[in-house]
Amino acid sequence: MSSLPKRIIKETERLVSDPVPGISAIPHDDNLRYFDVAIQGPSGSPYEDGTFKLELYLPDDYPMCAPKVRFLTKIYHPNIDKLGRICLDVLKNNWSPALQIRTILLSIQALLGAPNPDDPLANEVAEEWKSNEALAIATAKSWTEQFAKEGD
Amino acid sequence: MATYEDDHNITLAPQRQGAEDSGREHQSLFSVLNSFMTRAPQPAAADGSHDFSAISGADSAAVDALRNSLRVLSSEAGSTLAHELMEQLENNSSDFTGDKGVSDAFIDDMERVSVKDLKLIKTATDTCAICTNDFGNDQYPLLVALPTCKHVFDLECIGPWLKFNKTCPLCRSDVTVKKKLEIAKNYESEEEEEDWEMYG
Repeated sequence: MSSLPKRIIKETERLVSDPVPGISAIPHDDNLRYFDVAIQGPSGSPYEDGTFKLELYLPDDYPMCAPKVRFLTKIYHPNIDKLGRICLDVLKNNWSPALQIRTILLSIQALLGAPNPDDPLANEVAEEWKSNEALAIATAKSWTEQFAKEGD
Repeated sequence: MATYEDDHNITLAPQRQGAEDSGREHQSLFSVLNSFMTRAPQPAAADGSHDFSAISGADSAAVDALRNSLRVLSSEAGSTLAHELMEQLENNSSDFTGDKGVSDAFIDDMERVSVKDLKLIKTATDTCAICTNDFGNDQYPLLVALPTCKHVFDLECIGPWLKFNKTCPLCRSDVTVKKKLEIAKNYESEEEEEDWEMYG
């Protein structure tokens, strides 16, 4: 892996030495482009006190292309589908090479605090969110309880 | 002193094989593109577009070579860019760069900035936002300011981005809007000057 671009090395070092509160990202030993990520659910959200695991992969074109990020922990959220795929503009059309792993993970944490059912990825969840928000939030809380608290 | 190899953490060993080893696919992809473009017979239009329908006969070999290179890059190296390009090529798009990026001429024409002038530019940072290296650490820095927003980047970093995007990585402003604005501004300032003469 001696060919890893300097930017990725610097980003990785800073993620370890100066971690973002509530977020950890650790690269695999055998593939330094592949990260195990854990994001704490933001307080005041239905995901509070949950720890959500994600996988993050830096494609060969990075930073000209966005990192590929996916939730591994099951989560009830209108912008995250069953497979853990995330609907977030900065991961798609609004990617910029000035963004970094840490800013992307912060955006994902912010998305947990501010679900956007008007731009859904999981249609059923979004419908539920719009028609009966209280019930949707209750479901999200119970999923957090059930799936995001293992090993705490 | 940091050399190019240091900055990008690569060794230019002679036995270096595929582009996938280097981790800089966008560079090798562009060399493929550039070699293709220099082989293309018709002069690039002002906007950098290439009309594939005009390519015929012997030149179809060049298109095939490009297609093959892209296929390798997209399948083996997992290059999203190569995949997108290949789709465009398969669709026989008349506009090679699509609406996405800017022309080579545009990139060549960007304003060069010397490291000692960086302090004079309000919008300049100390580091390149794309490679995150300090501008001052580069032995042979080649910096450019984007025409509209004046944000400064290494030419080597912003070049590949602008081939497929028209936005500034830092502020997302359209880098191609400048000319229109400039014309409008000149017109206004002329008017203002006249006004001053009349009422001042």
